[in-house]
Amino acid sequence: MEAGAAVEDCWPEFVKDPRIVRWTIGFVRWFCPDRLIEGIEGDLLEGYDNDVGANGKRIASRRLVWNALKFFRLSIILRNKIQYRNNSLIMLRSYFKLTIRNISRSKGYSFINIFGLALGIACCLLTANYVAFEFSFDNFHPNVDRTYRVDQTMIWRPEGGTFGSTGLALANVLKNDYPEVEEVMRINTPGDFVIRYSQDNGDVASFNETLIFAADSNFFNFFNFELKEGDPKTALKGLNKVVIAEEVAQKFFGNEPALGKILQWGNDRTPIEISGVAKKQPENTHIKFNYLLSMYTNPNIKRFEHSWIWTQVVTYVRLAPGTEPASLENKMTRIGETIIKPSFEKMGINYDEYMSGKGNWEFYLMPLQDIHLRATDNRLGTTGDARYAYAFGAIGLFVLVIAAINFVNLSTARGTKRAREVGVKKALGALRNSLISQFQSESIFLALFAMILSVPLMELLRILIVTIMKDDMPFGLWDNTAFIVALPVLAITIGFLAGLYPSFYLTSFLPVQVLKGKIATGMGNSVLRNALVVTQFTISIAMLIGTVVVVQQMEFVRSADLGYDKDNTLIINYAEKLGDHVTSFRDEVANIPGVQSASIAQDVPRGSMYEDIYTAEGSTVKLPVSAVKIDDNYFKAMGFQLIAGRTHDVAHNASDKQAFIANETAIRFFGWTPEEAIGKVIIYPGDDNARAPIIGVMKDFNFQSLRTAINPLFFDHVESKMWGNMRVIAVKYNTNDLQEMIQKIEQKWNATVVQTPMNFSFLEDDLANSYKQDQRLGDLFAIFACLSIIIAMIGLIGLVAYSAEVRKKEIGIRKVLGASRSGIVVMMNSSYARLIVVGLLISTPLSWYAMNYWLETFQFRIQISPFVFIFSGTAVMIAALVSVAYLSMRAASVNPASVLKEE
Amino acid sequence: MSKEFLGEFEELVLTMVGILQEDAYGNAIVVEIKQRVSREVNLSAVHVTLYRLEDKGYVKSNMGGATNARGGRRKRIFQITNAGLSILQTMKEARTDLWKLVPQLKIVGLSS
Repeated sequence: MEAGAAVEDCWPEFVKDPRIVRWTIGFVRWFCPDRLIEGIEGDLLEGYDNDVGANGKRIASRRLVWNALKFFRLSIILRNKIQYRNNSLIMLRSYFKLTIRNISRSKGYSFINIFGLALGIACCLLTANYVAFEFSFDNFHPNVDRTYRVDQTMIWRPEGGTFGSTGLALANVLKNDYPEVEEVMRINTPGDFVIRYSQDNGDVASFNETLIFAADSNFFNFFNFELKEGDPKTALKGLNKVVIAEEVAQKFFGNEPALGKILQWGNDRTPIEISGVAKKQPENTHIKFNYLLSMYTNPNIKRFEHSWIWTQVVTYVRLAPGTEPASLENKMTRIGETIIKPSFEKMGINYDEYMSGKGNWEFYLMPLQDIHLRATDNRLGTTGDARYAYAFGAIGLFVLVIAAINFVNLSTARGTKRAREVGVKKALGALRNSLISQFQSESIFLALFAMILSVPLMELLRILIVTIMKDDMPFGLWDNTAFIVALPVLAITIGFLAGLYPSFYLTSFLPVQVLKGKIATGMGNSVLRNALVVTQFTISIAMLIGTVVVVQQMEFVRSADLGYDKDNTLIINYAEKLGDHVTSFRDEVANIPGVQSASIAQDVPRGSMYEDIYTAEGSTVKLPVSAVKIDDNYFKAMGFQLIAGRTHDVAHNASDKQAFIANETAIRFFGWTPEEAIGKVIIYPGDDNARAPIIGVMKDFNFQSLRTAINPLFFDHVESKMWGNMRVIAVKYNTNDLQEMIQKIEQKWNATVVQTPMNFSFLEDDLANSYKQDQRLGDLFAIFACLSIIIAMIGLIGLVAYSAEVRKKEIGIRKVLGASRSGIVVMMNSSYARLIVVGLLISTPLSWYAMNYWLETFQFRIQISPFVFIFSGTAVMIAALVSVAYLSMRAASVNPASVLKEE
Repeated sequence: MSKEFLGEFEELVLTMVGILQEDAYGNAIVVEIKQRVSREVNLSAVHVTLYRLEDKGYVKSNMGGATNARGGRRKRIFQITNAGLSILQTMKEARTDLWKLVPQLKIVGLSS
């Protein structure tokens, strides 16, 4: 640089003159190595000079620029980089050595530092992985950015809303009338069926199968599911074709090829030909199928081809590139008035009356990638919840923050030791910058060590979480390149950020003061450290409070009095497959030892129910009511409570076949008292104005999730003419040998229907399943709250150990002057106990607010009691006391003579 | 012949350094090449080659005295080293040896 500077003074006139020359030279200077710059500049200028003489200024400057540009090449640029890098590599190596020496000089602290951070990184990456998974749904399908699901106004509920199913007719309208729509595809859900396969030797394999869909033949244009066997272009063309999942093929055929084999579908045993076998489908998609029938294999498709209210398909569209979805949505608003209304009139339905209260019949475009987290429903599978994904992400981040705080705190606390090093180095002429880079690289090195340690820790944690949650929490994205990049980036960022404060703080010491020993007695900047410790405790206490609240609510949900007896109830599903034998089967099951009672119903109260509109004679009220068919025994067997009238008794009174038992909520909506309600006639307008009297009123019970309020409910009889042919058998049992009882029931089942496997579940499990996501939240809260407390404790131990060491002499003097051991223990503990109390005070309102927000999603919920906060604060306090008990005892029992003898 | 090897352009530049003696610097070499073998070469290419030759130890360099031309910048004067001379020699001999193996008759035929 010296040469360059010297040259500066003697710019000749002609260089000063044309700006272009100055710029060019500046450019060359920017990238050329200092050593070479003078010769290069000289040559360029000499050439320019000669050119000006020979060819004039313009050509000369053009050539100059060109020549200069040509110097901008690797073999020149690298010449200075290599030198530079060499230099800093040497420094890095020396910093690395220093780091290792520092680690081995204070193994305990370094271990705490690195281990705590590794735990934090592991937690953070685990949750990040989960969050990334949640947000990755359906991102692998072709042209996903212009693929949408068509949602429409929820026409089945009087209050409207939207849902993700449509009628079959929509697809053609979109295809023909809207040039913006490039392609349309529908998926129908025919339901669950028994699928059978007759083997060559005459044996029949049969399974109760779920996830059976029927799709238009362009299905594979929309979704990127690969076929192991078969051609995706033709697999769904024609009638009675089916593409099966790899797992299904495995189940039926083992390793034999499945293509071309014939399965039998449903009770009619429709033969369907396997035209494709799909490779294992990824986890992160909103649609997963076991069977994919060609669309018209389901006879209903032909029948309802032009229907708008047979809303049993999901319609997907791919828009032409550049189409604005909002403007298309806007254009689609006219479908209701111009197309659906006339079609209703043809069928004799009054469109305006039908839609009153529901708003316009509108259509909405739901981006494919948003279905998982933003849609409220998904006909073809489950949906997630963005709020839960964010909550998990926040939890992971919190744990990381706690770990990073440890890192900062321990570094600054130990600054007193390092201060002397800084003093000496400064006295010997070290620049502050180089000291900062020394501390920064030390911090980054530590973070990198933590990163290496975090990988096995993460695997351990993953195993722990998967074991505790017994659930398909998908943590299997390790071979992901993003992860491999994210890991070091995260570590370096944490190392850098965590190192910022220590490095600037430690290097700000004045050598004179440090060497005189002034700072060495203090604990560094304790205000900041205390603030950070308070943050740690705030987070860990808040997470503990969250855990307690979720656990309490889940316990409340599990043990809530639902208004009936849900214990010891075995449910035999799909009993409608027994056909006319259902009654005799019920009676046979009732006689099996261990069975207390068996009864038939349309379904048991375990979640979703279909609502229909009912009205009453002499009433203007139109009420959406869930109606469930039951037999004579069911009401008593399940322990429902009657408050007026009587229950069905078809055995003695045949007219009870057409009769309702209503719940309190329903009659309240009609404006009756229980006594008034008896004998009132209910009209079902949808079904030829079918009418039936109310014979009983039952006490309200929770037949849906505890998230919803109790809605109107009717029980009618299984033999009534009303729609609904699904059947279950509820078996109440009292036996020590459940296995044997189920076996006997299964024998009876197999004797009644052939080649139809029995499907059963326990009511309690079914109920618990509907709170799976909340259970998951609780489990995760618990795991991460524990981890965060552990990490915070690790940090606390480090801090206390350090302060004990620094205050050794102080404690010795106190003891000499008569302080008691217990007094010193109290002194050691009170400093951070105060911080825990502050943490509790801060976390109380925060966590109260957050958990209340979550509890609001339940209609039936616990109130957060103040004891939750007291308990959580106390628990953390006790954990802290226990963690540092040994350290403070040791500090307090030190012999004054041994610490005071030096000096 | 040792593993050391010079590219065609490297050899040319090295030769020029040998020819120009005390006056061997970037621009002079460009001019010299143009005059002697009528070949337009770019200044930066010459520079890069000179630095590479320096790395290999065939030339060494130092700064010449200041002049009023060149905006006051000194020249970086290159000087061929013994190693440089010896590799030029080796290459020349190797080529001559190879040349002797080419049947001379054809040339005669062609040139006639």
